[in-house]
Amino acid sequence: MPELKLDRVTKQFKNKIAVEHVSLSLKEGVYGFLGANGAGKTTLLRMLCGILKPTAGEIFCNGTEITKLGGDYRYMLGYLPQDFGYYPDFTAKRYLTYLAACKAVPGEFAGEKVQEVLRLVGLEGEQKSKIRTFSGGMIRRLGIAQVLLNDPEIIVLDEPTSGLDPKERIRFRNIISAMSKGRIVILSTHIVSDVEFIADEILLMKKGSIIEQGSVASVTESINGKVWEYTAEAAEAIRLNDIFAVSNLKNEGDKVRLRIVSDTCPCKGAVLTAPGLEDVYMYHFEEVSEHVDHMEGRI
Amino acid sequence: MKNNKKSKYSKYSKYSKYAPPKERLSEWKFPIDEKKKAEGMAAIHREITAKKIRHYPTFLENVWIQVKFQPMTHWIAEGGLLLSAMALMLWLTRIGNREYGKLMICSVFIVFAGNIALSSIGRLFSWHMAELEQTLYLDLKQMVCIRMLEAGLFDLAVIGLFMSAAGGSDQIEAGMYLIYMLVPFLWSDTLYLHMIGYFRNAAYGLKSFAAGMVCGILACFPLIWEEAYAFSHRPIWFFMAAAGMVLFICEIRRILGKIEGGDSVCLN
Amino acid sequence: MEDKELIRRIQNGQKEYLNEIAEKYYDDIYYFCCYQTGSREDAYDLTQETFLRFIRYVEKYRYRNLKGYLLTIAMNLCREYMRERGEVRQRLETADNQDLDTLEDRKSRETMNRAENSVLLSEALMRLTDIQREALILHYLCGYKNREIARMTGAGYRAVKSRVRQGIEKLSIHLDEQDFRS
Repeated sequence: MPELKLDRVTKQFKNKIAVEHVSLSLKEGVYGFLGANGAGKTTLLRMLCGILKPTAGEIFCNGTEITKLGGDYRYMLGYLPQDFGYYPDFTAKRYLTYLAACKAVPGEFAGEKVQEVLRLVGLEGEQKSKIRTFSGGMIRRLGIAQVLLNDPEIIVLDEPTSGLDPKERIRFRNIISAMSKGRIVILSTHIVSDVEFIADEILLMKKGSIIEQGSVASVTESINGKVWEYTAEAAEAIRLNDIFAVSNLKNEGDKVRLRIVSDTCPCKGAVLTAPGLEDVYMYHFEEVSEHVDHMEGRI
Repeated sequence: MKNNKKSKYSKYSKYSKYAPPKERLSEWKFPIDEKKKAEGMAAIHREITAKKIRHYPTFLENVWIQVKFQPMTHWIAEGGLLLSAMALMLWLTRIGNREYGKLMICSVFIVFAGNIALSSIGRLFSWHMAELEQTLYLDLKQMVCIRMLEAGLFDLAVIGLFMSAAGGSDQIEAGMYLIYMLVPFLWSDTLYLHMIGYFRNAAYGLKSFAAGMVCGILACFPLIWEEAYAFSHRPIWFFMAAAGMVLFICEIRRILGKIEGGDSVCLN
Repeated sequence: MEDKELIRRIQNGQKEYLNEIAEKYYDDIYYFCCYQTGSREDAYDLTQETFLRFIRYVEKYRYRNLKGYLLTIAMNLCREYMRERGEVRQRLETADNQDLDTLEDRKSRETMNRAENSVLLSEALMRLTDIQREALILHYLCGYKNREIARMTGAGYRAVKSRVRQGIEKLSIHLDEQDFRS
C-alpha cells in the first residue's frame, strides 16, 4: 500500500509562484484536484511524477524522498499528461509495446499486458490502426491504457477528460473507479462531474495553494447556507446573473430558475437549498466549471 | 615426523569402535512441526502475493529497445545515406585530383548525415512525448544518451568512409582532413541540437529541414572563400575544431540538464 | 520443473512459481538453520526470513545453484542471529518435542530414537565453533563439496577443508561421549 507525503512543496518559476507550501498526505483512494486553469494543478502533478523539481519542500513515497528512489519510484508510477504525446505513425499496439518496454515490463508478460489494457479501454479492435487515425476520445483512451501497463501503484492523471464527449467521460469515470482499488489515483480537472461521484477526497486548488480539502460531503457542507434558488423573469435573471455568482440557469416556461451562490440572501424570495460540488466550485473560483450533466439542461 | 602433526583427536576418528561418522549423521532429519511450517509458508505466500516482479533491463536491452522502435523511415534514411556516401566515395576516387572540391563535398555530406542521425533525438522531444517519457522507468536521459551513441557511431562510420577514400593524398594529411570535416560537422550538430530546444510547437519535419538547410549552407562557405583551405589558415581550423568540440559538449550537457531540471521539457 | 526454468519464469513475471521453490526447499533450509543455531524454535523464523529475502531480491538473482544460494542466505541470517545472541547455545530446546511423548508403536519408537539422536547430534554440533559447524553441516548434511562451501562462505578452500576435518573429529569425540545410538 503506497503512501505519498508532500511536505511544504513549493515551485517558483522566475517571477511566478505556481505552487505554494503544499503539504499533503495521500493514501489509497481517488483524490480529485479541482481548480481553474493556472491554479497550479499541473505543476503539482508534474512534481509528483518527478518531472519538475520543487523549489522548496520534499515529496516522500513510503518514507523515502522520491529523487532518492529514482527508477524504483517511476516503476510504481503511471502518468497521463494533459497534452498526451504519441508517435502518430505507430499503431496502437506498437505504441503500447514500446511503452511497456520502456516501463520495463518483463518480456513475455508485456504482450499479455498490452492486450489486457487494450481490452480494458475498449481499443482491442483498433490495435492495428495507426494512432493518427484515432479520434480524440480514442487517443485519450490509449493514454489511459498506457498508464496501466506497469500495474502502477500511483496513478496521476492530468485533465484526462478534456476534449471528450459525455459518453466518453462516463466511460472514463468507470474505468478510473475500477482501477482505484489498492492504488492512489490522483486526478486533476476543472470539470466537477468528473470527480464528484468517484473521488474519496476533493482538494480545491487556487493560486497554488490548497484552499479546501475533504470528502465530497464535507466540502459541500462547508458552503451550507450559501446556495439559493430563485425563480425570476427573464430580464431580472440577466441582471442577477451579472451581479451574483450563478451556478446554474434553467428555463422554466417563461421564467428562469437560478441557482445563486452567495454569502447572504441575494434577493427577496430566494430559498436556501442544499449545496452541490458545482456550487462549491462557483463559490471559490467565481466561475462556472465546465459542467456536463445530461440530467439538467443549461443555457 | 608426521606423527607430531596429527591432531590429538585422531585416535577417535573413523576407526573408532562406533559406526563411522557419516552413518551417524544420516539420522538427523527429525519431523518438522507442521503447524509452524504452515504458518511460515503462509507468511511466505503473502509476500509472494504482494510482490511485484520488476524487470530491470540491462544497458544492452535498453539499446535494443531504442533501436527496435525506431520507425522504418529512420533506418531507410540512414541506410540510404550510407549508400550514397559510398557512391560518393567511389565517384571521388575517380575524378582525381581536385582535393578541395572533394573536401567540400564531403563536409557538406557529413553535415547532412549528422542531422539525419540526430533527428532521432529530436523525435524524442516532439509530439509531447518527452513529458511522458520522463516518467518511464527507462528515463529520458538514458534514451537521449543511447540515441546519441547510435548517431555518433553512424556519423563516425561515414567519416571513416570518407577518410579512407580521400585521405592520404599529397596535399593534405589525413589528420588535417579530419579537422576540415569535423569543423562543419561539430558546428552543425551543435546548431541542430540547439534548435531542437526551441520551436517545439512547430511542425517537426519543417524544423529539422530548416535546421539542416542552414547548416548545409554554412558548410559551403569554402566555395565563397577559396583561401579557406590554405595552409596559413590552419590554426583557425584548429581553433574552430576545438571551439566546436567544446560547444558541442556544452550543448549535450545543456540538453541533459534540461531534462534533469525538467522545467523546459514541458510546454509550461 | 527444473530450478533454472522456475527462475526463468519467475523473472519473466510469473511469480506463482515462487511458491514451488518455497515448498521444495523449506525443509532443507529449516534443518540447516536448526542445526546451525541450535534452536528449533527460532529456526522457523529464520527459514521464513530466508525465503522472504529471496523473494525480495529475486529479480537480481542470477541462476547458478539455487539451493546453494538459499543456503547462503540462511547461513548469513544464522550468523546475524548468533551475533545477536552473543552466546553459544549449549542445549537444544526440548519444550516442543511432541514426538517424545508417544511411545506406543514401533514407528514412534523409531521417531523417538531419531528425535533423541537429533537432539544429541545438535548438542554435539553446538560444541563446535560457528564456522566449523557451518562447514560441517554444509558438507555432511547438505552434501556440498569443499570447493562449493568455500564459494558460499567466502573462505579459502584449504580453510574449509581443515574446518571440516577438525569439525568431524571433534564431533566424533562428542558423539562418542554421548553414546550415540544408531
